[in-house]
Amino acid sequence: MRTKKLPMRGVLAVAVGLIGLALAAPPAFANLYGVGWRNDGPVVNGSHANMYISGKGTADYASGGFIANVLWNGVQGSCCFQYWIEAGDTKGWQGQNIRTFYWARNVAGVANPYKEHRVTSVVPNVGTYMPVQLSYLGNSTWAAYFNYQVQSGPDGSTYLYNTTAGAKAVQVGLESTSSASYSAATTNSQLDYVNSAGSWVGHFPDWSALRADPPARSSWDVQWVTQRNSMN
Amino acid sequence: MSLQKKHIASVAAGLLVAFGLVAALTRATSAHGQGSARAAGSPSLPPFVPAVAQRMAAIAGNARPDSAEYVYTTRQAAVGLDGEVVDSNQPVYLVVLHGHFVYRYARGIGPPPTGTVLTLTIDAATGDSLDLGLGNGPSGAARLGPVRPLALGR
Repeated sequence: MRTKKLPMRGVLAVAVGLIGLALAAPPAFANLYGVGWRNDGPVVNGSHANMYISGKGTADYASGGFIANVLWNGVQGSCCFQYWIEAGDTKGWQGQNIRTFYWARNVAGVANPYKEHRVTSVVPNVGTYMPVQLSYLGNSTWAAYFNYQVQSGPDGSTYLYNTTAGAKAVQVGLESTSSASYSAATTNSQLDYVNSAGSWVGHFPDWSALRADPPARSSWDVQWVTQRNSMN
Repeated sequence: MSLQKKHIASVAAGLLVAFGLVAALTRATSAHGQGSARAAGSPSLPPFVPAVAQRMAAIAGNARPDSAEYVYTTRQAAVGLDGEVVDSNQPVYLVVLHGHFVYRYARGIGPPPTGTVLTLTIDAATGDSLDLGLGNGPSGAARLGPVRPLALGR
């Protein structure tokens, strides 16, 4: 009997290990990234980055491409960024060669899971900084802030039942749909996050990964307070 | 005779006045009707609406959607159908496209979103595309006013 139980324990251990691996699996990166990210740290119920607006060029804007500096926050308790809300500045918007701020989300439990919205009340100016913040407000509601003004409010609170709070996932940096696009050096500083108790924490959780898909570059500044990216 | 001529002339003048009044009333009624229709519906459709819709359909992986329709509304009313709030509320055309879409140029991490209902808002004054949604609907556009078919280039 005992010898039979040991393999069972082994099987269970392997199963638990596999589940653990699955939960900590890397996100399915679809585009090119120069980012810092983590999806196995503490639950993140909000995040903030002071974004430097760098010069950018988008090679594939006419076909819908873009290059953007973005702050992502996992939502709905998902691992691996299946569900998220994001905000940032982009060059290239829905086939137009323009620069704009925007926010977007991909969530579960609604008829139209994917949405992207242009922000028009504030305008990105190259060479300046813009504080960008994502916050969980409670009652299944997230908000995106640009320069500390609410640009988006209740995000499907009527429909997003169980769209509670955040996830163990946060990321910041460049995203591009073409290796021929470019971005001058940009930084994301004052990387703060909101923990599960609803308190702001002084800097992002210790990072487990940097990602840089050539020609993008990504690095950390001193003590992980600032994250630097470029692509050219 | 002169009295008869005067009488005929008076009757003719009366008839002319009567015809004139009827014609004027007819014009006024017609103009009022057009004005009411214009106030309740959309202005004539700018050519940029089908152009932007066609562009976004192609970007979302289906240049020949099964059908297309639009509603003239405001931006907040359009995005409010999904319970969202945005930072401006100008007049827009809410365009709803039906077909099978794979949005390869979507934002964010993960596989491209897919769906059968692609919604767009287009600024009614500038023609800028502002908002995009993708899923399996329904869009709820009919709650905002008369939904009209949109002809796209083939």
